[in-house]
Amino acid sequence: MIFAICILITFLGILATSAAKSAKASLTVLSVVTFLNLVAVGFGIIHYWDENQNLYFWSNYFVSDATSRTFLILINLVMVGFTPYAINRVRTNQLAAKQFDLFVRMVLIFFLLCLVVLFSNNVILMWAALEGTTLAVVPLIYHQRGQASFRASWKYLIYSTVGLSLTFLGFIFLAQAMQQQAGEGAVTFFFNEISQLNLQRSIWSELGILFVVLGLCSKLGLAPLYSWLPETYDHAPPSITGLLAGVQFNCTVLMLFRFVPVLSRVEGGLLQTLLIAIGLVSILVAGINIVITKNYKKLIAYASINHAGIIAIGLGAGKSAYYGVILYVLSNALVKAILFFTSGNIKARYGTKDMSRLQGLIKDMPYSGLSFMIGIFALLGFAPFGSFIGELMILSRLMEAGNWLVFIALGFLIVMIFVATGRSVFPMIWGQPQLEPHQRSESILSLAPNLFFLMCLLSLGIYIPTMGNRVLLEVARVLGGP
Amino acid sequence: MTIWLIAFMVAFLLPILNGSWRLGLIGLGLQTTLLAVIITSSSHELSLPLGLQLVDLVFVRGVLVPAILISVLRRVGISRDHDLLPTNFIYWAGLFILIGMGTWFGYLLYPEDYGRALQCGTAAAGLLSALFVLSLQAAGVGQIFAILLMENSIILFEFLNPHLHSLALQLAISVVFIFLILVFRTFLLQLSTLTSNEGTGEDKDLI
Repeated sequence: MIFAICILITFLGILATSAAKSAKASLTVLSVVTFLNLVAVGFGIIHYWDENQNLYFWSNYFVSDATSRTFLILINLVMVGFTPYAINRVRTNQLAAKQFDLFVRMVLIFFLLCLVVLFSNNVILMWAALEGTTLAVVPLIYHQRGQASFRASWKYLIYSTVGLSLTFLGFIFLAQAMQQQAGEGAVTFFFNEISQLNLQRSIWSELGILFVVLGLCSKLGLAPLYSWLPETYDHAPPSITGLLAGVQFNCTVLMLFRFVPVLSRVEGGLLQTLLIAIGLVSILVAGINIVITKNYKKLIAYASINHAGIIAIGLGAGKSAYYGVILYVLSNALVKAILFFTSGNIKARYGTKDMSRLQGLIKDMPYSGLSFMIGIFALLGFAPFGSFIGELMILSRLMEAGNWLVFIALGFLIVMIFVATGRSVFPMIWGQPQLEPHQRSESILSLAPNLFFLMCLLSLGIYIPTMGNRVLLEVARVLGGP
Repeated sequence: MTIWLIAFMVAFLLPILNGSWRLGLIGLGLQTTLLAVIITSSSHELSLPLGLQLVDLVFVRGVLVPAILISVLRRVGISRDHDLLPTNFIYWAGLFILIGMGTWFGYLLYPEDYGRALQCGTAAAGLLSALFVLSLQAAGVGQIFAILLMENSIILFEFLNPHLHSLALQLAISVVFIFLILVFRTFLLQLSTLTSNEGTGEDKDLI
């Protein structure tokens, strides 16, 4: 029901942007669609919420369960932050209004396809929708028509296509495993039916796990196919980077969430080893690059790789770490939205992404400086944010399971990233302003989305309402947690 | 079946070993047509999903895609010669080692079923070769070729399993593929209009 309403609202929004003649009209459409989607989700939470109920609809192609509903709320929250940010940018810069109708239309198409990913119960449909989100976001990355953004969007397209092709190959191998085990008629691509098959270990299932994990990890920007992420996040418009990190990233995480319980029953050891190895290598790569980079947007991009690595390790660690992973995923989306939207404001004001040239942000841009500072604290996993609790739960699970080597390596890498990020970012936040700003005043609209995200982040770390906690526990239980 | 698989491998090597993108695109079209022959020669009954898959293979991937790419490459004036693989012995040896490895993989998985071993081996050899080409290509055109070669190998892997997707899913896959090609087309057109002095500095980050 909520899904159908959100799809309908977004679809009507896409049609409305086709008729919109000005940037103002497109902004109105975007605001209305975001608001109505939020109302629909809120109404659904209040009236139809039952975390244990799995509703299969439209010939089983779609499912509404605790996982899809949690991610629906999350991506809607990111959209709620995206909309005022876009309004503020268009108001403060007339150049941003150029081709804004096309921009909004592509954003809404992207969002609609993300909704399909979230509610899909079919592997192939989910894959096709995820590939669709990639194709929809490519022109958005290249929206500013610069050579660097052109290269970045091309790299993103090629890496994503290769990653998703490898994932598709993984599905084919899993289908081969099903056929070998139970005959031709047993082959299915519906998640609920795959779970019931009780797939046994075979060469095909192992190949399937390998390719599905490798493919999805490359879509998350994890090693070895990670190099698209820093470039894309750096050169895409900040609003689009926020959507990539806060929305599309979580659609891929959801796909991984759907596969983890199925694959861990087939060959848990292989899945665990793969996820932990990929996670650790990715965090190492991210750590080294965080030490080197002087570009604050790239630094946040590498921090995204680090976060994806921690999520992979958490999924590999299993059991009680699953709840931590969910908290971490939710916090991660909000932190990225805060930091990327704020970095857009900073870039607009100073015209540079070089951290060594920026100082005294908190004096010169109090709203954005404060948001950036708190965002960085949450990024580094400070208490009392949700990321802190999430990281703590993953680390304690590693200790509990006796994975001492992974625990020590992860602990060391987290400290390294903490020091490297602090060393680069803290002088940028404090100190005496040096650069002459391009824009004078800072609109309250630039603070509104960040304030909202900060409240959600604090809530994840300090107090999660009972109903919300029950939902998160259910998501963790479906993953295989206690 | 064997003859079609051998023909597929020949059509697969045509774009890689021949230094002309026109012949390469013809090779790509030939591959998908051969894939259509391979699927019809297996024990499938004629159905709507199969019909759609045949249309996808013969008309979309076999005719439409090469036609779109030929027209756009002509329009942007890309030189006729385009090596997917550097013309030296080391790279050629590397390619044939990968083909050998792929074929061996097929026999490893199906030691007692010659037909399936050959199909699986051909698909694996194709996939490894496509990834090899992709890793060597810095040019956009070459990367597009490599991705299309990879797609064709994956389809051959898919045919190992007699399961057919439903009409809706088959349609979704075809639509996504068509949009991918349209995005490739836009990129190639944009590549030709993007001059070296445009946007060489930092992006403006307007939105």
